[in-house]
Amino acid sequence: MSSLDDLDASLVEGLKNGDQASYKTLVTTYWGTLNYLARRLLNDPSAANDCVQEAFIKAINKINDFEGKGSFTGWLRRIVVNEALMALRKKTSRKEDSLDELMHEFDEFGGYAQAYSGQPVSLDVLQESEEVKIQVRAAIDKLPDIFRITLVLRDIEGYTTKEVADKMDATEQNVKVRLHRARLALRNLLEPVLREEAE
Amino acid sequence: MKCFKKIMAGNLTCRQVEEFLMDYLENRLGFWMTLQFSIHLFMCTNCSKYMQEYKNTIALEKKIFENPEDEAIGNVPDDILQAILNVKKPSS
Repeated sequence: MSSLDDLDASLVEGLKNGDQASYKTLVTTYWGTLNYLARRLLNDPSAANDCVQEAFIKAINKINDFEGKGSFTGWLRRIVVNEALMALRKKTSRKEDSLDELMHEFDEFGGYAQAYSGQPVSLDVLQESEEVKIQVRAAIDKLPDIFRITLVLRDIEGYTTKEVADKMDATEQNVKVRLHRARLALRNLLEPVLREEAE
Repeated sequence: MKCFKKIMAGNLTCRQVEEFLMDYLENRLGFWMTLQFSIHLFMCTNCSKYMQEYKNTIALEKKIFENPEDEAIGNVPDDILQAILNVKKPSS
């Protein structure tokens, strides 16, 4: 067992006993990573704070349901996802759920409307760049809710297509289409950094 | 000329390649469709570069979640911490 597992096991035990120091450890340890996830899902720092707060309270109240079969972090992340989805359902004004303006244009023959110029930048170079990280986060945040959530749940959180479909009251086919369109839109938004123009 | 290009490029258009790109990368296309795809990608520089950028995009979005500390989240606000510390001991 790793030291992290030991830490989590001791934390879970403390939470079950209502130990205040464990509450504080829970919050300070997981605040950053859970808030980051909530921000990507909700695209709203204030709503993300509320979501993570609710998730912590729920986690403490339901700690006896945690059986230790999976990772504690994974359990917490699932609670955040559920809270975020509930918050989004309550939202009255939602971003337009269309990606049409972010899609590529094709000519009447189904070819690219504009010839491709330049070369793709290598992944190693992209992954090293701090500026690219900022742009990727910004691009994810620009996606409409249903596309952004589908992308985060499938690509980042590792949910299956069926799990995402169940959570979002959608068909599996819808989820697949949304995921692909979200990735395409993301790629199109990131085009300026993904490509190196020929000199 | 466009028709000739289309036939040479595996009888698929670039629009179709974009539409089925995810299925192609996840090996969910049948044999003939995969073959047509591969021919198109071999013949069409635009699509092969586009596919590379699509793959890079997926790798990048996954990567940025590995280091959440890259984004300044800040410390836990006091009112949130206090609200959590006030939670009663969970009933067994």
